[in-house]
Amino acid sequence: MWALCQASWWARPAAAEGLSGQVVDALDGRPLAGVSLVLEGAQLGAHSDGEGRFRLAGLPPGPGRLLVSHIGYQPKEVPVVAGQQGELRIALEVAVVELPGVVVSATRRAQLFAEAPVSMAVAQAPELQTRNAFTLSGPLTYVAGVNQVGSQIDIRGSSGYSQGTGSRVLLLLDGFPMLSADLGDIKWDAVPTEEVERVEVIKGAASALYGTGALGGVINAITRQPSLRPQTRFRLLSGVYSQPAYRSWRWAEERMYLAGGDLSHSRTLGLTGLVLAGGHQRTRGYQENDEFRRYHLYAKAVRPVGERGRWTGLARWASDDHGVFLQWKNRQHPLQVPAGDRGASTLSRKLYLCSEYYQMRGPALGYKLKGYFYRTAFENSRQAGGLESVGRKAGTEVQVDYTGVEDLALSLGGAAAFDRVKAPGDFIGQRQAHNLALYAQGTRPLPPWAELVAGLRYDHHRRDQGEEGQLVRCALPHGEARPTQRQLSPQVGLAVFPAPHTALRASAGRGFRAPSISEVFTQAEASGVLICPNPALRAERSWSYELGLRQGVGGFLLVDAALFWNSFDGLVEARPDPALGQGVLAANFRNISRARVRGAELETQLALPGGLRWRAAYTLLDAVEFLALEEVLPIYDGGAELVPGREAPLPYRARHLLNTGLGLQRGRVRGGAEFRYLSRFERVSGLFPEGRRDLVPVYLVDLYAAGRLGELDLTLRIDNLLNYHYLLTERELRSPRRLSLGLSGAF
Amino acid sequence: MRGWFLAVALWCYGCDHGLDAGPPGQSGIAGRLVFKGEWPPEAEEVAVAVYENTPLQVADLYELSGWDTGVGIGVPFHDYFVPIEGDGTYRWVMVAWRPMGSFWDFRSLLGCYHAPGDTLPTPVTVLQGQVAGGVDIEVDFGVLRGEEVPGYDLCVGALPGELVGEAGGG
Repeated sequence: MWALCQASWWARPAAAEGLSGQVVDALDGRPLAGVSLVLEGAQLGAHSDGEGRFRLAGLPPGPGRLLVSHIGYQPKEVPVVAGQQGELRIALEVAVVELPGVVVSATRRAQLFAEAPVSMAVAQAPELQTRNAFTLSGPLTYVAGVNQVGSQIDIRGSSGYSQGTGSRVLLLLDGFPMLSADLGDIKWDAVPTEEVERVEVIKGAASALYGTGALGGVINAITRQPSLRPQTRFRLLSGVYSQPAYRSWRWAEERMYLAGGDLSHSRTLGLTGLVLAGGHQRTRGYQENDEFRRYHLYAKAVRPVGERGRWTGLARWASDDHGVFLQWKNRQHPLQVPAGDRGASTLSRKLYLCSEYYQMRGPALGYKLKGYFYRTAFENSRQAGGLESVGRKAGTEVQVDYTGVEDLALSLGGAAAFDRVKAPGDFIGQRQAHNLALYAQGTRPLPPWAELVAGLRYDHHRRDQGEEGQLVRCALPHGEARPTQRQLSPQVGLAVFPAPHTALRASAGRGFRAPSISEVFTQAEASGVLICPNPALRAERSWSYELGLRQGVGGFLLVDAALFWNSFDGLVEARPDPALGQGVLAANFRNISRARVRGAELETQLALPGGLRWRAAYTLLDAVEFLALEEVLPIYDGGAELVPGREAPLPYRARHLLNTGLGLQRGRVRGGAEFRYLSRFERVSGLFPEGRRDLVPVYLVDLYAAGRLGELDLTLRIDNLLNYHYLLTERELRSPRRLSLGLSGAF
Repeated sequence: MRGWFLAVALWCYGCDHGLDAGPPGQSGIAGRLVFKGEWPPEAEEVAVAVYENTPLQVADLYELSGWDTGVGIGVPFHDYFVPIEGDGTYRWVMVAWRPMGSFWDFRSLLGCYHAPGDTLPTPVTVLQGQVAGGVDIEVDFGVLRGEEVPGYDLCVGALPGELVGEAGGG
């Protein structure tokens, strides 16, 4: 896919067919800087400069629609004719109730958020900054329907918990896939959080667009563009965790702190825009073995090539040396680890390189070449299992965009990705996998009030068994190996706009995820449980359906409602099995027969008098699996009744999820309170005898205050104000109260 | 304004804190492990495991009622506590070990609880909210070298042959 911001042509000299003008505030005529302007149907965009001025060059001739959006203002569509008009003056009106502007993830092309045919959410940089977080995973839990269990993100109940192995949510960085080759997981510290301009979240299967991995949704982190003028930005963050509410749980008298700093510089040298950044983060953590030290570097370059070409390159390196907390010592000492886990740590390093070249070949034809490389490596200390692995993922993609057939916008493409894993034979071994794909996606307006999107993607996934692993404790795996998986993923979506402030959407699509190499081949101990390989593991698939309605009322109220239904076949879940371990507590990843996740989501924003804003998002989930008659039931039920032939709750899903917040803005100061509720999980893994005994419903209250002093932004925040103690996975307490202060600025 | 802060502070302090610290009179089994002989240098962990019934097959080894892995390596003795959910009678209280680089295997028997004079492992009864104390177990590492250890045969004899093969061997 192409990322809107990577298409910025701010550094281009004026061309014969171009557009230029100024964007201002409709109320007082003040120039607006940083406004996003995108020509729909073409791979071109720009941002306004400090005087609100913009220029787009190399445009295809003829009429088009310019999509204009800016944080805090109502998005606007402006009809334009390239090369046939003088200076444009675009006036934007302040949005009382905010709606995101242009998005690029829903259909692989730039479009207004309001016109997306699927449920989406967008988190903008100012909102992310208010969270005072080192990574994106925490802030994303404030998005409706999104939860985080361990380090895994769950969108509308698609994912449970599998100790960081595999992900049903595909992470993209500027449109490039970012799941590791070995564990198939998201390394959150590899994402340059401090450089992210916005995050787009697709809720629901998107495999017709993105292939394997996009079974439960997509998160696309879009980074900032280089600036025209030299600019240096910094961000400092520090904070402390409170002691637990009970004196008997205290384990350390020293201050449990966190601290970090980032510095970046951006400028344009000749025609090349550059961003260079680096940073360091460290924490003592709130529990034993919770400390980490992280370092990261980041670079991005954008350069025009010829009249209508553009190259973008991005590099990220990150190192993370962190303690390993697998499970607590016992219920009386929940913030301490068992004696044998003391000193357990993991050192992990990541390197991400990606490159994109875009070229327009005519008024209606453009193509894009992409390549990326992702290396992840980790080493555990002996106390943490002594495991090590190096994963390498390399991929390439070609996409051709054509808009020459009436109003049809067509994208055709092919993609290839290669995974290679090198690990000891008694862990994962040396393994390889590759994925080849062809796709087509078309968007057609149905005048006067609808738009139809249809797509189809074929994926061919094959894993090479590689060398035979050394089975140390596991029984010989049963079942026939399934090295090849094929999938045809269709998707269709319809957006209807029957009235100016009403948008209806309907979509249906296929989801597909080939299991990660580690899910198939891992043999290791985790939390006292032996994980065994399963070469018979096959891909998981889903059908995903959704109906949605967005309604604006009088400019002060916005309501978004959605009904969704996902049916899964062969969902991959970790399950205990007495036959595997030959006397050792053992489990493996297995395809469960069928599962269903259905539900409803309601999101509202209300502007109240006096600068008050209220928002609330509620998600109701009904997530069950159908236990086959021949199902091998775990020794422990995990807190739910398990009967072969009947349905049972899927583990680690909350039936009720509520996020609500009240905010107040007065001039340059704003503040507010947020509340998050998760109902108690109805079922957990079944790996531990206590089941869900220690799980409680989650009630979290956060307070924040933010202000701007000149060029400095200051954010004071208290997370988990009530110091509420809770678990989302067995034997691990989540963070207690945290007080943090963030300071950032640009000069 | 100060009133506001005071109200919020009181609310934070006095409100529900979620998972509680557990009742003081928690149910469980407690006792002392006494170690004899030289600790094996490859010992990584030692645990006390509690089962409601003596295991009869491999699958039964999973049905742990509770365990304590907090035994310090190389210590002459350790006072253990295994929390138990609910009251009941527990017929198999045993000590197992895990060598470095290996996984937990509860066939790695080092000893089991039996009261003086008993010829079979002694059941332990736990009442709700109470701790059954004095469940002491003597562990002699001589069993790893095949030495005759008083009482060890009693433990091995309680297990079916399937679970004895690697007993003591880790």
